[in-house]
Amino acid sequence: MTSRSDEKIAPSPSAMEAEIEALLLSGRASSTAEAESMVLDAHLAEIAELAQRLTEEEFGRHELVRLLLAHGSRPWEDSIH
Amino acid sequence: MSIETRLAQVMTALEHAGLPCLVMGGHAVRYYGVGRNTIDFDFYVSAPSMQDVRATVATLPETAMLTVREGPSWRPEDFARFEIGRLSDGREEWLEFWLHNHLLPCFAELWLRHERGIYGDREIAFLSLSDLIRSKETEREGDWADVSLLEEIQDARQLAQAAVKTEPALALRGLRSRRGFETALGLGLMNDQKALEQSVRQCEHPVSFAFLVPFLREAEQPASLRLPVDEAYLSPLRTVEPGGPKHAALVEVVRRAYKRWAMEVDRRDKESRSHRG
Repeated sequence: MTSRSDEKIAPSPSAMEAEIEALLLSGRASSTAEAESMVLDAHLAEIAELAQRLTEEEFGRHELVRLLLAHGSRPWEDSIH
Repeated sequence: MSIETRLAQVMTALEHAGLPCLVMGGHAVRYYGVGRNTIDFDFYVSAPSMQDVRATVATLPETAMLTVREGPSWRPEDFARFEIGRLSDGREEWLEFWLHNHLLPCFAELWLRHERGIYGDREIAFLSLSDLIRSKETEREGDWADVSLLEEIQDARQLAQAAVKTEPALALRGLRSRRGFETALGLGLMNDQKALEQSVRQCEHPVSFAFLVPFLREAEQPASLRLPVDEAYLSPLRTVEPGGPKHAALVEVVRRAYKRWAMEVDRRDKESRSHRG
């Protein structure tokens, strides 16, 4: 059973979110976009490895992959035309 | 006066002064279809030396330039900039000249493939779209925003040209954007095995190769690639479903790796020039 005090506690950040926060708090990144970009650049080999290890569904759900695609070349629906 | 007309006025003055030049930078980005504000006039010029460019700028008629004051440059033999006036809101107007740029070939080569188009009510000579994209591969993050938009436009142009000439390889070998790839996929161009094989052999950009390699799993990386695709990314590219989510993600991995490399190359060039200076 969940107590009232438990409900007030925010979910703990994922490892990726923690890395982004650390970059922002330390001043090594001046914006969230920059911090996200730095995290992605640091994990490119890991993403490639995930592509070999995970199923399509697991891969698509992975937070690094979702962040990568959000930062990448735009798909059709977000395009300039 | 519109910024296009002002650019045309500056270009006319430079031509009258006998300085062959191609428009690059923000105005070229606007010409190719990306809406963007700019108050700088950027040119790639042909001259024996930057001193000759300075001498020519000093002779520009007052009708085109209100003032000509040279500003600082971190590579004065290759790049010079001149303040030519102020806008009504107080911002400075800058005229900028590249004589040599480490990202681009010599003027004669650029001229061979330049594009002419109407801009500011007259015909203007611009850097080709592919050269403009290359010129934007700098350490500045903002330039990469232009790159991604210009790549979409280049893909759209090349796909149209490939359709007219019924030569899919014209578009496939240079694919750079996700939108261009999705269009090529929708048009069924990836079903043309012969075109795919020809295109893979002619790829110059690692992202283009990453788009194509899942369709030709055993394809060798061509020597023409500006930067080879790292084996850590190439290996999964050879196994993923072509056009699937993993393929899309791996292309973005290759894109980021290329961008990081290009930014580093530009940063090192700036560093070496500033040490020399």
